[in-house]
Amino acid sequence: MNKTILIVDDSYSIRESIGFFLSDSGFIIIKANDGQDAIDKLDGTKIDLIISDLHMPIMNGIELIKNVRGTGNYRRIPILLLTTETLKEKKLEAKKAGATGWLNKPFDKQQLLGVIKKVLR
Amino acid sequence: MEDFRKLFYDEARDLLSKLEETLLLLEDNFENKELINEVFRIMHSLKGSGAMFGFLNLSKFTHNLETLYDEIRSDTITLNSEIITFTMQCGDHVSKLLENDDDDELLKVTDDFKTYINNLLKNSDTISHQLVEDKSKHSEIPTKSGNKVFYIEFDPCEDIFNDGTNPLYLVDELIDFGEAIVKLNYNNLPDFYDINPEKCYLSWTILLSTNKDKRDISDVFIFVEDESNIVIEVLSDKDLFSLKNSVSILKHELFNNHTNFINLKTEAITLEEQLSETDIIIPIDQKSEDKEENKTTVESTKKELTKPDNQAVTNPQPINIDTVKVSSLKLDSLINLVSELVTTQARLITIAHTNKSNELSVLSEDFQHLTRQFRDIAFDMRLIPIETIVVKFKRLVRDLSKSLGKKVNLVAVGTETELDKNIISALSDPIMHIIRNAIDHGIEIPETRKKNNKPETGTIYFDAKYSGTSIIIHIKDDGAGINTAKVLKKALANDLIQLGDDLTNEQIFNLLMLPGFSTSEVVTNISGRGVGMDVVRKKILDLHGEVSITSEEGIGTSVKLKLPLTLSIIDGLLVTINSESFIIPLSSVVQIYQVNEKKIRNSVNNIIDIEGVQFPFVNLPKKFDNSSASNQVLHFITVSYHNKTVGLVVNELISEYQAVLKPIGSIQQNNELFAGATILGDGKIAFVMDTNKVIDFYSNQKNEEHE
Repeated sequence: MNKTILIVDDSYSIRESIGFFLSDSGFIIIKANDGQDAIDKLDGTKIDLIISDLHMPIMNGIELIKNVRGTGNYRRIPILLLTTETLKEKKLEAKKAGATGWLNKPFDKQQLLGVIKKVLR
Repeated sequence: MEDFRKLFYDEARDLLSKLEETLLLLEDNFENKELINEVFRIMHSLKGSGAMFGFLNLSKFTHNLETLYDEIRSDTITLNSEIITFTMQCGDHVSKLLENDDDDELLKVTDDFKTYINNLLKNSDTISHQLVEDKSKHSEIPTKSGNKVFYIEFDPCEDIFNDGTNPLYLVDELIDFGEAIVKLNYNNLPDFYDINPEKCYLSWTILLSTNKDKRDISDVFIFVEDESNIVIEVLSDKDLFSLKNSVSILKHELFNNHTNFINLKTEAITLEEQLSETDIIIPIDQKSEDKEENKTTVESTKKELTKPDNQAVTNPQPINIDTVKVSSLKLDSLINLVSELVTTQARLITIAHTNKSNELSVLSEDFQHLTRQFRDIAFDMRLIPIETIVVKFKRLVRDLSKSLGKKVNLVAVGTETELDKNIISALSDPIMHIIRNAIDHGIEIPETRKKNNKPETGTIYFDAKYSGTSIIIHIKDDGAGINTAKVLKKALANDLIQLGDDLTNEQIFNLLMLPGFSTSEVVTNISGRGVGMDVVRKKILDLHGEVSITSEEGIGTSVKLKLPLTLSIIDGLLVTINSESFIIPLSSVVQIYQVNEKKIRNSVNNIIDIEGVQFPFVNLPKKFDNSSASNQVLHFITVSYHNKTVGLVVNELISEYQAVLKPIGSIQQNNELFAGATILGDGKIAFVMDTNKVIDFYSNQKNEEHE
């Protein structure tokens, strides 16, 4: 059965292009504009992975992770953060909040699929 | 990929206009953290997405700006209006980079901007290490001759499940690198009753034969390396697994409970010696047998950990689509098709009427109903809020007032009002010009304003609202107003009027919209650039709109624009004049009366009295064809003409009609009078009247006759 990925990014173009790549690779895609929107989408639907941007308005990636990890049925879901930070501290912060992994922008399709492979099979 | 570049391009444009808006707000309140964050986020988005879609220079540049705003955010740098102005320039520059990311000229400017940012950053106490250009670390896979054998220990922390990591996936990833012998260590597993299912008590020891190097292997654990115990050692540089029996020997050693790396290493050295001695190529079938064995080992480990897949239900996935971006070309062709549909529908109605078939009539009416709804939705899609251009005005007001040393505030109301996209883009320039005029000629310098008991800061009100099928836009300022005496003097000097002409205020203001009129004594580089109000007027008229100016000296000036909501389809009245069909736009119709032909004939000065009201009128059947034999009963349609009501006489009134406007060529002699033409249901052509121009034309003609 196809895996479902929730893509959270306030950038329309990133959302669409990742969505396109991944649905092309056989995933079912759900999209959200920010952390809050993502939380709203976690409404009982089967979701296997969340790929989220770090900086977003309303609710950023770290807050989203804390929220998801804090409660409910989705608290063990793998979450990948898309970052542009190369700083180690930021990554540790993300990891501490409960991120499963991260991916530095820019990335290509192969890198994206490679990281997904680490957390979803 | 090009498609996505286009997506990014559009998005970046949106971000840039948002940036401008945010900066303008920020200028009033340097302390507003939320706005600073917004700027930071915009830069961040541009940087991240830009790099994704190949705008590398843009990405690097916005990275610097992001750093700058990060410092401002954390109060290391204090925001001031200089930085805001600079950021605005940067925004403009980013917009150029968006057009051509690799342009050498632009790159020079980029460097200048970067230096400026670096100086700002240096002045603060931060180390500018963040400005070091990101180097994307593409790990190149070194070309290697053969396989090596690695010894790997992976001991995840107990809470590894908490962040959604499944350690087995990492083991799987390693196995994909080559051949592996995997041993599961479950020594730490507590008694069954003490097991916490949310904790991981297991660890793995893996012997991996692969052509990848150590870094590739440690990359597998990149997300868990900090909290897990990971050991990666080279067991042997040689391809031990190719040696007959080696796999079973190593496996035996590995599964011996007290083994460690040293023991394995000793075993490996022995095997290496054998390998160099024998150098035998192993038969393929045996190798595959060994492989088979590996697999079973791995699978057995897997089974122990695999959790029941209780979510395997086939519930349908909701797909989230809130908004869709559509290219305006597609919308245009949709509108074209709708126009054709409306025309076809009109034919259907005609045919239904001629055939007098009930069934067909019902059908055609249903069809008409659907067509209307379809048309409305299609047009609605092309409507965008006027806000999209108001942002530009804000920037204009800011820049202009600064350069003129005036204080001006733009207050925009009703910016959510929606208008056809084409009209909005055509409106931008005329409104910019009106605002320029207001700042340049209208709003006084602060000292003068103070003297006149006005607040130092002048205000320009921008107000958009619907009025029937039109939209009305007011642009008001509280400046000096128009000096009528000055206008008259100037008009006299330019031979636009004659001495002794008695003009109402309205007529005087209209003089401003005649070609080549400018009252400013000193021609500034702002409004006196040869493009005057006459161009504004022409542009608005081209859009089938109207402009009017009102002003009171000392109080201010107000420019009112009235525009149709859309350009390509109008609701009209289908009438005949001398058995030719014409369409009168419904938007200008006030009322319809029946009058006797005699009453028209007996009228004096083209004015008749209907129900106690006097109406000037144009007798169209007579004007169009002097020899026409008129009917007994005529229809008298009153239409609004500027601020008055004027009658138009027609022969017959057919019906209400949705006219799809088609442009008419220059061949038509009287085309000044018509806004366009439309094709009727029976295939005939009907002209769509521009009532203002028709009345203008025939009332002037009348004057000429008098002279």
